[in-house]
Amino acid sequence: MPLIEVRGVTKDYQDGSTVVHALRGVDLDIVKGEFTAIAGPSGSGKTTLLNVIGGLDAVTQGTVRVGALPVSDMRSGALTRMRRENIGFVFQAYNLIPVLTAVENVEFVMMLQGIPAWDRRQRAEEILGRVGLAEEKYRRPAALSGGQQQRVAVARAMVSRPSVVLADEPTANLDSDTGARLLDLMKSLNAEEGVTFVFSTHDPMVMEYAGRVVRLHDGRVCADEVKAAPAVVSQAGAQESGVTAVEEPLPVEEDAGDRAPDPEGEAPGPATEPPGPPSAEAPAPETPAASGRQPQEVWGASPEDEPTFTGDDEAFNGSLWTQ
Amino acid sequence: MKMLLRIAWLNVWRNKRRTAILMCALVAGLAGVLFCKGFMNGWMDDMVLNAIRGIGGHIKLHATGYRQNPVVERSLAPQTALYEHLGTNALVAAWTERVTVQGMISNPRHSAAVRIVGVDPVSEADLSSIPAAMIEGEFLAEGRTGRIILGRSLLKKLGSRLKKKVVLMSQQASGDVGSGAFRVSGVYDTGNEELDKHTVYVLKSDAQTMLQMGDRVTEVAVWLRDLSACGAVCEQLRTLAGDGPVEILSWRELLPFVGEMLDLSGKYMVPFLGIFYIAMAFGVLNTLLIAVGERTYETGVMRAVGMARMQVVGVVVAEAVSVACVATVIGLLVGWSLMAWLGRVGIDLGQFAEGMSFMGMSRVIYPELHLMDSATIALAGVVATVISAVLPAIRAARTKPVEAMRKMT
Repeated sequence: MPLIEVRGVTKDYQDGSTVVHALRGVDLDIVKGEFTAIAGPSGSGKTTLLNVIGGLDAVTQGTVRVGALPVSDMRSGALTRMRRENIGFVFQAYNLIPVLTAVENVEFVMMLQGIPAWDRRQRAEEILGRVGLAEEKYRRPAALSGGQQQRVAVARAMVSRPSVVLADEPTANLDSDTGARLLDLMKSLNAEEGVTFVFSTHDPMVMEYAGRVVRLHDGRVCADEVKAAPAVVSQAGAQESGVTAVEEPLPVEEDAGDRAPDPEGEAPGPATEPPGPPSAEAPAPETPAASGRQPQEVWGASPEDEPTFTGDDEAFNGSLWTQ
Repeated sequence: MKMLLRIAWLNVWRNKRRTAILMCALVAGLAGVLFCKGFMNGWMDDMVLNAIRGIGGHIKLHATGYRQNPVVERSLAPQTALYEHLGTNALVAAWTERVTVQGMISNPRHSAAVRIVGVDPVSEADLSSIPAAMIEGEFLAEGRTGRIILGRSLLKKLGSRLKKKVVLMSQQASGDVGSGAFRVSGVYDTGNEELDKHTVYVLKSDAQTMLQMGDRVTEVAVWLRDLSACGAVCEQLRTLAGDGPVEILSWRELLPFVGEMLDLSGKYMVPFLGIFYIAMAFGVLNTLLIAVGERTYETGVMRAVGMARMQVVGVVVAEAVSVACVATVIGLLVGWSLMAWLGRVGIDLGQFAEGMSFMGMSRVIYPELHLMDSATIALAGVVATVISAVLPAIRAARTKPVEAMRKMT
């Protein structure tokens, strides 16, 4: 079962009186542990594809699933939670919150998840050490080089133990040496943790690192080249490294029928297939009751703020409980 | 939550100059509001006090009907039982008998209509501000008959001076005109033009002789230790007086206009303060809108990595609250310092006060700030700031990550 499933996705933008067809019927499966590059020239739809996978943008037609979550059918609040719990993001530049230090930036997503301060600080320092920034942890972004900032962004994306990391041209603003070092880092994290990486690029050097290159042209997949098998990491090995590998598929959202239009624009267009039932093969995620831990209250993240997610909330929150 | 508050606090100081300008505006606004309220309090207190001084006491005892027709025929014989009560009542600071009539003062060159007040100099000194307001000569003294005290304005109007003679005339109870010659022995200046220009003081015994009243008086004036005790003391005196010939009136009954002014003074301030708060709120709104606009990309990133809308709202509101709290503390310090200084030296209103003397305004107003006023004003300022943060907060919360980041890239 693919971790990411894109079916017949089209995305149209209105640019004044002109309709721009950013994606034109994209079909794509990405399995767990893949290190995939979405390649193509500017305007080919790379960023748009990443955005619809990450729930940052709504599809015009088609469906997107990440694990069992019907991303293209979810509403704003549920998408926010999905991004917080299941996806790590690395953008081209300006990734970090300028008023926070490197370690606080890494902590930020964990803070949103409600992880206690002592735990998140420990984990943030650990992963900063792994990306080679232990000495710079108390520096603010302005005091870091572009490459260091991107490494902090990767650390932030990884530290929340996501199922997938989406990186939009992460090396675009870096020189080739720095870019290569960042890719080495991402590649090693993929190999060691088994985290799925999907990144966009138009740089041939970057594509060399990818285990799989999906080429887009004018919003269509024009080539799909698999160069290496996906990384597979054992649970024990992952826990040793401090990052949990997600071996099981993401929980299935039971009720995706509540599809009111999303005022924010993150909601999808008409779905082309109904959401499936919960996977019988999927092991139940750890619950608060089972783990004996209680969720941390997150300021402002009230149920009213995100009232539209109608799936299995407990399962959805599976990644919230710390190891 | 701690981290979100930290982000909010650090955001406040990202553009120090802008924050400093906003803070200055808020501090100036708050200090301005405190000044206005303090001035209004001082003015009202001064006006009430002057008005009460003008009538000579918080409570007055008259013969029934004197208020409607204040003539010398409606005088009171000594009220022994009431006097005993006044002498022993702890709420009463002082009391005195007076003879008060309308009359005419003249010298060889000028004449003027005045209120002639015959006083007992010993007991009058306990409740009157006139002895302390003497600027020339001295106040009346027991046994020194044929002396008169004038206000500076009246002395100037008459073109008279100390030790010169003036003649007083007024109607006696019999209907005849009584008159007497008096020597100017003192000049007073209370700062209240209305009082200074139209009131003269002589010994009670001289007034009784001139008006052939025997030991009768036209009023008994009572000065209380506390203005708020007025109603209670009036009730006690009314109970004691029963259905007798004595009418007991509080200052509010004697000066209904002043009472109304006092009651309405708080309400006058509401629209005035409202304008201040609206101006302050627009300043905060404008600044926050700019700040939120500048951080669109950053907000987009935070939303992209999973920050909930309410958390975005919380950060922006927390920023506004931070600014408001800092500005409030500084504003209170500035406002209180200003009020403490002005409360000591006063605000000299000069000719404006002369123009407003009919309302009992003194030339120098001493602003006075009450703790409750400060708390209310400060709280209202914080609330206004928070309300003004709502629109920028909503705008920030509505940031669509993909659009925010697309604009930047």
